[in-house]
Amino acid sequence: MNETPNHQLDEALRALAETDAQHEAAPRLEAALLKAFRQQHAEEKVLTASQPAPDSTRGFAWSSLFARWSYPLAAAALLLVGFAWWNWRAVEVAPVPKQEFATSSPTPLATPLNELAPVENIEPQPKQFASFRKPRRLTPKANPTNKQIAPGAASGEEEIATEFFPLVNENALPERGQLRRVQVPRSTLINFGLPVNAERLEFPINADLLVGEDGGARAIRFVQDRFPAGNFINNGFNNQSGRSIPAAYRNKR
Amino acid sequence: MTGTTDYELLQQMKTGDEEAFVALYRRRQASVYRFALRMCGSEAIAEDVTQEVFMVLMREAEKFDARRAQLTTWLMGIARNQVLKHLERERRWVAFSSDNDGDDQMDFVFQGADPFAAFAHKLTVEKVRQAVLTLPPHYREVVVLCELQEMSYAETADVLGCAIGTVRSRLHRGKALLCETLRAVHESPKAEPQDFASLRLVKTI
Repeated sequence: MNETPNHQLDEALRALAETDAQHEAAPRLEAALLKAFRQQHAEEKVLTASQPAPDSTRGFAWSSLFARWSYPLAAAALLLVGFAWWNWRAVEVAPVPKQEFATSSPTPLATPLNELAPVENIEPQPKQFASFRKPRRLTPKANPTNKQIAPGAASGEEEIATEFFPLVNENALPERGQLRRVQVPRSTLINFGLPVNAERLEFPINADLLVGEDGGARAIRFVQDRFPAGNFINNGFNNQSGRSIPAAYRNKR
Repeated sequence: MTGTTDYELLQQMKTGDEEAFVALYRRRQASVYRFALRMCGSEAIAEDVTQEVFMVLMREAEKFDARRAQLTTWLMGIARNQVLKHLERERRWVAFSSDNDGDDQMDFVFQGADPFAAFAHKLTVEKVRQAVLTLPPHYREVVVLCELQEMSYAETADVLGCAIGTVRSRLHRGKALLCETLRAVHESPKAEPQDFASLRLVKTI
């Protein structure tokens, strides 16, 4: 493009600017805006008058800070309370199912029940319980196995135990009863399909008997001895032996 | 209020001073209105844009930061956004060879000794005005701000939110497009009779 058209264009644009120099908004627009301005500031005055004056003696506007964060804080507190309640209810209020025992294929007992009579009644534990409710577990179980924690007999320590094995029909399981710590021959483990450490066959094993109100044994669980763990690794308290307790007998947590 | 700066007027306006608001409006409304009129080609839209710009000034005066821009460029930036909204909403592009009915005819008052020269001048101005309206918006706004509003490149860059180099290149390209448009109009055999047909001589002095 040569200079002549550019020059002409500049002159034409300048002429257009001069022509439009008198253009401005209509006066009614100023009146409308002034009316809106008055209305806005009247509303602001009303709002300011309805709010308490800030305390100028303080260096920090606590009221404005509270007004800004009150709703988020209230919502957060509500969520926290709701979560705590839900967590408490899930642990405490949720119905703990009864220990389910299989009735379809009960483990055949090679040893009569009378052989399960205590060899040595170490310490009777007249613990009242209701309907096989397990003690509340406060920490989540990392890996579900056939182990469970039995309350320590004397020292209060926790012990590792198997599930309860039913000794009678499931329908005959008592709603109330007592838990008695007994010692039974280690060979009893075989009757329940549990592996036995042959080297310790001559030593009895602790067991917890669930005794009904009529004095009859209803279920049994075996408790691991408080010996060095190596001897009991293969005693059915875990699954490393390759054999496992039938799933129907496992506790449902 | 004549010696008061825009910023001082704005501060007084925030406290509810009506006189400050009126002074600020009277000082800046014409440039906002003309910018909108040159961008849209419609007086109604230009008034709407002007009203909206000063409503925003009333509502959001706290947002203005004197360290970042002048009040003029801030207002023009608001006006630009409003204009672009109108253009996007209405999609009304003013065609150079638009069909004019009788109500849309232009009234001219020819003054001076040579009415024909005045007529030719007016005709040229209207051609340029229509040619500006045919430009794409991003070229049009640069031409309007730099050439018609006589803002500097830096101020225009502030309004548009782009670099000065971008303003320069857009202005160059916009003026080139204007030249092409005006040349095409001048060489078109139908253009001149059509434009003359849209003019009406109302008074001769």
